[in-house]
Amino acid sequence: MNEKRRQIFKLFKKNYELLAGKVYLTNNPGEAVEVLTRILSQSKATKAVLAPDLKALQKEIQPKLEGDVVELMQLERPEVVQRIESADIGISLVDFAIAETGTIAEVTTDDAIRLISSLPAIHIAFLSLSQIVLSLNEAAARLRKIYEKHPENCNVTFISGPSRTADIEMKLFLGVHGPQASHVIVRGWK
Amino acid sequence: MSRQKTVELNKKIQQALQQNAQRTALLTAVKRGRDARAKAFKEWPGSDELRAQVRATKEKHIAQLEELLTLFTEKARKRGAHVIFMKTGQDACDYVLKLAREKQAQLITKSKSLTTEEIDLNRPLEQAGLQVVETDLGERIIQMAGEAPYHLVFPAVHKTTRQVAELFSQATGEKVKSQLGDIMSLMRRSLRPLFINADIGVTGVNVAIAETGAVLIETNEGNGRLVSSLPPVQICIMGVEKIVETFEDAMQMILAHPISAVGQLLTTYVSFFAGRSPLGQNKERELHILILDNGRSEMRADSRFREALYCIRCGACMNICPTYGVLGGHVFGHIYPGPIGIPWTARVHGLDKAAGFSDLCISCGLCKEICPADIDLPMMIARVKQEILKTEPQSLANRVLMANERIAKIACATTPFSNWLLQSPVVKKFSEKFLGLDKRRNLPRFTPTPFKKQFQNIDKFEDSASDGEPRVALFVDYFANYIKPEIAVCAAKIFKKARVELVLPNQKASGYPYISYGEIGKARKSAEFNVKNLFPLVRQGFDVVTTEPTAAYALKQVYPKLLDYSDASLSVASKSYLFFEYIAKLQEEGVLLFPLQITENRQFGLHVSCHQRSGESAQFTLHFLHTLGFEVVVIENGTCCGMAGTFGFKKGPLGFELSATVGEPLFELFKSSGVDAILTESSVCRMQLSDFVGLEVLHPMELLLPLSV
Repeated sequence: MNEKRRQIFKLFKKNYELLAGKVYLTNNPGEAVEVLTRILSQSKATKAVLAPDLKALQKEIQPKLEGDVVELMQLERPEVVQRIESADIGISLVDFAIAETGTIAEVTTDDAIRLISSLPAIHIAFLSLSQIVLSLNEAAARLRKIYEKHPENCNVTFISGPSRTADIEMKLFLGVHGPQASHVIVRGWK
Repeated sequence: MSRQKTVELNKKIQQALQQNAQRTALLTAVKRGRDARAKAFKEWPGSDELRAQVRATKEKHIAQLEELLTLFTEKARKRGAHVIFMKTGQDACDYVLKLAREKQAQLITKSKSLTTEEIDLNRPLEQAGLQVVETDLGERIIQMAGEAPYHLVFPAVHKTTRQVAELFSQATGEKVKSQLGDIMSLMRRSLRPLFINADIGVTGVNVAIAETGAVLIETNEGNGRLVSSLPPVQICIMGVEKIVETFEDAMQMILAHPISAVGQLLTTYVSFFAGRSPLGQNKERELHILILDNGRSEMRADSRFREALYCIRCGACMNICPTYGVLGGHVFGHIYPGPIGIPWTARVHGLDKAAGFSDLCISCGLCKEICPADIDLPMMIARVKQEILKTEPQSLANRVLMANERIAKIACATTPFSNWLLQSPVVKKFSEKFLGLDKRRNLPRFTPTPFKKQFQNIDKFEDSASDGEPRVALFVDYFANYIKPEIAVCAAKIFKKARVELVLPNQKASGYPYISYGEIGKARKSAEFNVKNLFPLVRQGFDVVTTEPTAAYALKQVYPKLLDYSDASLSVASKSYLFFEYIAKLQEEGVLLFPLQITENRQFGLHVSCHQRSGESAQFTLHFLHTLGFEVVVIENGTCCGMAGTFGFKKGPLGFELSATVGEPLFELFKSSGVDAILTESSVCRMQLSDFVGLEVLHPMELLLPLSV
């Protein structure tokens, strides 16, 4: 990892964790699976849903979990909403991140994927180290490219930590409608 | 304001002032909002330029509104969205209702949208038998309570945990303990099936991006994500002013919005929608974007109100407004609360609705200083008041307070009789009853020899300056002329010591009170008169110096606007200074030599008036006093002392009582500070603090009186 990338990562991690999220840097696929299984087993969750583009992970993690179910979402199957709603954990891929604000950016063309990061109480995102940009301005350029690539429907969501509210007596509460915990596993390898 | 409206407003203020718990909750919330904003502005690297950038972006985009909306519409339609222009709120409501009927919808979920409150969308839908559910926690609470938002960003900040628990218990039939965790759990559980079964999801729009035909919304709770993803039909309702050109512009807005509101860098979720995505097997899904005018075109066409369209709805003006901070949005607001609520209500809901609370603006100007788009709210509000005056006469109390210069002339000429008369309980009682001035106010004592009469006998530096040497035209204003001429005398002494030529041009008081009471015509006349007399001197190389912060504010910021940015007004503005700001300039140029020897053992607390905040000129005052070895600390709570010009002189809730309540936190700070006396440059803050803190209050110049020349 070169120095610039290290600085950007450090800034992202600092800012995302200030917002009550958690960021883990992993150096190889084995480490990533290890972090993931640790989060799963510590969470006392019984069911996790996995976004389709993380298919490769299912084989890796399923044997390491005792009794927990990891369901790979197949979007064309019926009752996709109920399947996601019944999970305690949603695991999905995010496209890029913004260091200066502590933000991950999810790009989707199917709303079921958005539900994976919004319905379950815990969200775990996979992010590539090389995809962390420094500034909002760089993020603007990324968005332009993404929307050029998708000339029809496309949703981007900037996520900066877990769901929060302070609507009652200004007291902070995490996880009001969305996740109460938000983990980002950063893939530091190519 | 009509008599009946005044009576109603007074009644509402009186009630609000009695609700101590609610008031404390609101004060805590707004203070936390502005403190967090200040901290974030200090830490964010680009914050110095942010306000200017947002202002420029909004100016540009409102100017190019038609082109940008056309581009947006074309791009969004290409992505499969239905994009429809709505002339009025009624049109938008009709559209939603018709669509709901077509889709045989029964349940509508909504994420927070002030624009839908503006057009009162829920009412016709509910009347047609639809269930409409607000999903933002704050909005849900006020929906269950049947109230309007109390604050733009914290709609239910006036409700306690216990009250919220009761509301949820009633609405769900499930008993819930008055604990945050239990309430949240019930909220989450009870809303999930509604999110999932909704037929239509309605959201507002925070920003629409022309270059790509996308809109975005910002939510912290994540409810916006569920409202926009689960139902088969999504409707986004946006005001025309939400349009920006590029993604870069959009990034500026999503930063400016939460950082100004609560000191957060980005809202937790920023969701961009372009076209409508399938949800698994469900491919037949729709996105309708309703672009609402509802009076905005008229605002845009009217140069006096165009700036209102630059509002990004952050609520920062509410967090700093002194009277809003004790009254909340149910008194200070119609549907749009707070300072920005006055012009928006006037244009969107009608002048009579705005007249119901516009008098709560006391023209302190703090909202302009905090606004991320630098909107000149005080002037825009003055213009709303001016329009109201066309339909209703000015109150007697306001007329008396605006005539203060005429009264002062007579009073000074007739001292000591006039002072005896004005202080006498009988006269005070009379003026309370018949003029509407509160008898509890201690009126200042007029001087028998106003500064203007003393000037020619004052020992001053008379040699006319050679080229480039400083020359000062003193703008003496009201207080330092009619009440405490010592202040101006002392200024003359210091100028003599600095060998600065001093003249006293023909002048009237600044006329700023006219702005507070909506008398723009009269304010303009004062501005014209003063600029006419000052400009020739400025052209000869004179600088204009005043000891009164409000006068400096008027000269620098208000006169150019009143005089349509004439060359003369801009020229005078660029050469106008508050006294200590000018001293700092002289010192920088090496003109004024220290030391000035004065012995002083007291400790002072400095109060910075609202009109001084914009120029941050208090730093010069503080620096000067520290250089002389005075012990001075700034004591402030980030808002106003409550006097705000002459507002606090008026009797009743809308006057003395509100003024006293606004100042309470500041009075307490002074009382517990341990200082021996208070310093302030503002003559009206001086009266307020002197009446309520019980310490001696001085203009810093008065400390310099022992100075020998």
